[in-house]
Parts: sequence; C-alpha cells; structure tokens
Amino acid sequence: MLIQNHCKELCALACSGQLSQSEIEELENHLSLCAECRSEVGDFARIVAQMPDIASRRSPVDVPSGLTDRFLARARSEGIPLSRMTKREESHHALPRFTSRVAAFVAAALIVAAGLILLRELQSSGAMRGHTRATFNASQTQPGTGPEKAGESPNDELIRHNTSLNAQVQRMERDLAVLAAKLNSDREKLNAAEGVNAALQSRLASAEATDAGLRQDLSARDTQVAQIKGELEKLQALKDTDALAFKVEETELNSLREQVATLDMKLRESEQLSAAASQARDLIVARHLHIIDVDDTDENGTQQRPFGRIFYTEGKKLVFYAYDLSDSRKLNARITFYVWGSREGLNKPIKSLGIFHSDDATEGRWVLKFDDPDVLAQINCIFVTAESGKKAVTQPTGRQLLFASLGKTINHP
Amino acid sequence: MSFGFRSKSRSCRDCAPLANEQKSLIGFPSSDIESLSDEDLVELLVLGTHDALRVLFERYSQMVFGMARRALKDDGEAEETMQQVFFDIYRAANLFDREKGSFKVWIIRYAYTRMLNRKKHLAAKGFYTAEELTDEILPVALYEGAGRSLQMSPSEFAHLIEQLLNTIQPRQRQAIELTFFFGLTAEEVAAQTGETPSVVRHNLYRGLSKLRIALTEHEQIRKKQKVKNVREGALLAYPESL
Repeated sequence: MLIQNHCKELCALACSGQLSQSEIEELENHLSLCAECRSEVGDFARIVAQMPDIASRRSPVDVPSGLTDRFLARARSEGIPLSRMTKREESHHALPRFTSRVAAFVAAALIVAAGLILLRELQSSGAMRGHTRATFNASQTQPGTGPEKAGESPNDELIRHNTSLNAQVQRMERDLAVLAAKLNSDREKLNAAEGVNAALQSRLASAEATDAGLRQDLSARDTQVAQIKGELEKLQALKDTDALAFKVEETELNSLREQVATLDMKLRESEQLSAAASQARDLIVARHLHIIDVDDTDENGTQQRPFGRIFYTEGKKLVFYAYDLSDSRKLNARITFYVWGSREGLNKPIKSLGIFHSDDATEGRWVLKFDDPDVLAQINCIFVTAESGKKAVTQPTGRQLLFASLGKTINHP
Repeated sequence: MSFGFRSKSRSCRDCAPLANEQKSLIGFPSSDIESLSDEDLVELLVLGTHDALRVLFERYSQMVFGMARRALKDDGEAEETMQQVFFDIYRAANLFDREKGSFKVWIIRYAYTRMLNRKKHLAAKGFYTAEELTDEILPVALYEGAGRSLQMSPSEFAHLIEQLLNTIQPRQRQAIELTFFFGLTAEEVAAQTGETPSVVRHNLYRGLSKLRIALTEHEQIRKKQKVKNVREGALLAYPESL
C-alpha cells in the first residue's frame, strides 16, 4: 500500500514523463484499487494538457519551414504512404461524385497512366544518360568542342538532369500515393456499400417472404370471412323463416284463443240457459205451485207503482219477482229491500228470507230465491221492507210494501 | 488496466476483432477524415488509413515541436524528436484506449517521455546516433478514471491555469514551469533551484494539487451558477406558460 502523499505525488507526476518504470507499475497497481486517485490522475492530465499551449503563448517557438514536407518524405521512406494534400486542396481537386465503383476504376486508370508516364520518363532519362555519355566521350576524344567550350562539364548537365528526373519521380510517387489512398478509400467504401447492400437484400428477401406469408394469411382469412358470411346469411334466412312461421303460428293461436273465448262465452250462456230452463221446468212441473200477483194500494185505494209475482212451491221453494221497487233512474244505493216471512195469527218471530237482487235493471225487475223448507214451513205470508243503511238488519223497521199471503189454495196445478 | 510507457502489444492490428467505434469508421471517406476527432483518427490508423497520421501531425506537430524545442534547445533535435514521437504514435496506435483518456494527453505524456529520453542520451554521449533511438518505449494509454470533475472548455481552462499559477507559491510555480514549459527533469530543476530532486517533485505535486483544487472549486461554483440561472429562467418562464 502506498503512503497517501507518495501516491498523490505519483499521480501528479504521471504526466510529466519523469516516473521510473517501477514507479509506473507501483502507481498502476494502486490505481486499480483506488477510484479517487484515478479521478485525480484524470484531473492532473487535463491540467498538464494545457501546459504546452500556455508555454507557447508565453514564449512562442518559430517552426522551421518545410517541417511537414520533411515529415511526409521520411514517412514515405519508412513505408508510410501519406498524401500531401490538405482537405482544402483535396476538395478543390475533388472529382465529381461518381459512384464508388466508378471512382475506383478512375483511380486505377490514373495509377496505370502515372506508371506509364514514369516508365517513359525513366526510359527517356536512360536514353538521355546514354546520349550524354556518348557526347561526353566524344568531347573527351575531340578536345576544344562540346560543353567544355561553354565552361560546363558533362557531369553538371547529368546531375541537373538527374535532379529534374528525381523531382519528377518524387512528384509522381506522391501522386501515386494519393491515387493509391483514394483507391483504398474507394475500395473500403465499395466494400462497405456491398456489405450494406447485402444486408439490405437480405432484409428485402426477409420482408418479401414475410409479405408473402402475410398475403397467404390474408387470403385464408378472406376465405374464412366469406364462409362465415355465407353461414351467417343462411342463419339469417332461417331466422327470418322461423320468425315468419312464429308470426303465423301466433296469429293462429290468437285466432284459436278468440274461438275458445267465444265458445267459452257460449258455453256459459248455454249453462245459464240450461239452469234457467231447469228452474222453469221445476216450477212448471211442480205439483203444489202457487202463483201470486201482489199489488200495493195507498189509503185511498190507489194502486201503487211497485207490484210483484210469487212462485211458491209448498215446502220447497219460493221465487219472488218484484217490479218497480224504485225508480231505476234514481237508484239509491243506500236503500236495500228485505223480504220477510211470518205466520199470520200466531205470534211467531219474523223470519228473514233475504234481500232483493236486481234481475233486470232495464225492466225494473228484482228477484229473491229462497229454498229453505224449514223456514218455508213456518210462514204463510211475506212482505218487503225498504231498509236504509249498510248495517245488517235482523228485524223489519222500514216501510212495508208488497204484502202477500201465500194462501192455501193452489192456483196452478 | 495498462499504465505508463512500455513495450506491450494489445492485439494484432490485422486480426483483432473490431470494436463498435471501429466498425462505424469502416468505409469512412478519406477526404472527410479531417472532420474526425483525434480519437477517431487513431482508430482509423489502426484500421489502416495512413492519412489519419497526416491529420494528427497537422494538428499537433507545432505543439510537440514547441515542447521539444524548449526542452532540447535545438531545432534539429526538436524536429527529430517530434518526428519520432509521431512515428511511435503510428506504430503504437493499437495501444491507445479512448476509454482511458484523450489523445492529446496521450501524445503530450509520450512527448515528455521521448524528450527526456533524448536529453539523457545527449547528455550521456554528447552527440546523437540513430541507433540510440531503437529503445522500445511505446506510448500506452494512461487510465484516467471516471471522476472527471474538470469539464470546462480548453480556452477557459488554459486561461484559468495561467491566472492560478500566479497565486501559488513561487517555488511551486517554478517547478511547474521548468518541468512542463521547458521539459526539465527533477534533477535539472534541482540544479537550478538549489533544492533536492525529491523536494522538486514534492513542490511539483503540491503546485499541481493547488491548481486542481482551485479549478475544481471554480468548476463547482460555475455549475451552481448554471443551475441557479436555469432555475431563474424557469421561474421567469413559468408565468408566461400560465
């Protein structure tokens, strides 16, 4: 473990280039464990990174001319093909934007052309060198003629020409390096584009396969939908038919109900008629039948409006019809007509036979039917009282009317 | 984790699997590489785009030459050292790790190392021979960690450092200036100041620490002011939004 100050010192000196190899390893081991020191090293590095700029502002250094050219030349001599053009120059001389493949062809053609030019120049320089050598030899064999006369040795001419050729060769090498770089770049672009193209083709094929699958699914779904629609239409037609049949049956049922109601009503009428006929028959065929007409008169002997008719079968049944007991147009609900039975001449209790019921309102006819033989055996006269109120009446208190003696003489055989 | 400068091969340049950043740089037009960041250019170098070295040279050659010139006090030696720095960078591009730090710090640190190495050779033998530069000292990225608290712009950063240098103790300022402005070793600084090399290193550490603390405080104040400005802006904008 490093002592804290020693560790911080190593952090600060890490960017100065002054740490020994052992100190570097020591610090490296410590940094692998200490995040705080890693952060501090980063901060120190950023501070130190500003030092060259501050130093340049304080004491500017003149950069020698040709610095870049010498570096590029050395780079090429060490096998690093660097182009000389800056971005501005490159954009100025940039070719129109062909496709990467066309650009690659153009670059290749330029390389071939450059090579041919170089070859031709080399050949011509060889020829020139031969020509110069011949001239030089001739001048040596013929003193007083040739370059010596002009004060220039043949070697100077050769050196000048060689320098010129070297300059051309260097220029062409640079051009060749630029073209090679462009070709390399275009190849990279082409490879990248082909990779992208292959990926896109793959995606397109995948998308087409997916599309075909989806289309098949869609077609199958359409078929299913059509089938379902057909079945639905059939079911709808069946439903309509059923609904129609139901309506017909309902109509028939209603008709039958009406018929049943009519028949029921007729049956009840028939039963009523049958009962009435049975009663009439019983009265007609009774052996001891009394038919008694009853009228009321006032004190002056004037006949009153109410009158009645009694059909009395001795000891069996009594039917009392009364007419015009009250004005039918002024029917008073609070008036009830009671029928009473008593035995004349004997002080016997008066028996209640019941109350009149309206038998036919249009005819003003009322009726009472009584068939208790015990009571009928104890009475020989009947009369009617008009009682008011809704309380049950046990004794006649109202006005008497239609008094009738049942008599002993049978007046209807 | 790697730290310092030593001969170390991280991976084969031709067969190493490409990282995501490298894959994205494949097919990048060489005519547009000048718009790339330093770190992207190093990745291009690894991929075989040699012109990336030219762009890096155009960006940093003057700076490295200035450093070397101030340290070696000779144009020829400075240029030679500068060229060697870039060729070493070219050869060791695959050792650069952008996750560990910036290219600028990388090349500055290596330039200091190269300069001091060159000075030692010159001091020992008094002359230069090509064979002496065959030492296998290659630049490896320094692990700077995640706690990057200083995030201000380079111009603001440099201006602040220049101001803060005047506020620290003179012997600390001298140690920093002689070390980083003139490329002196601790022994050379000690010879000038009459102190021991260990004292010089301590002064250097104390001076840099004071700069760091002051810059961190400034950064925090700046961030607080920024937050305050944002809040005030939000409060001012609030009634309008109603």
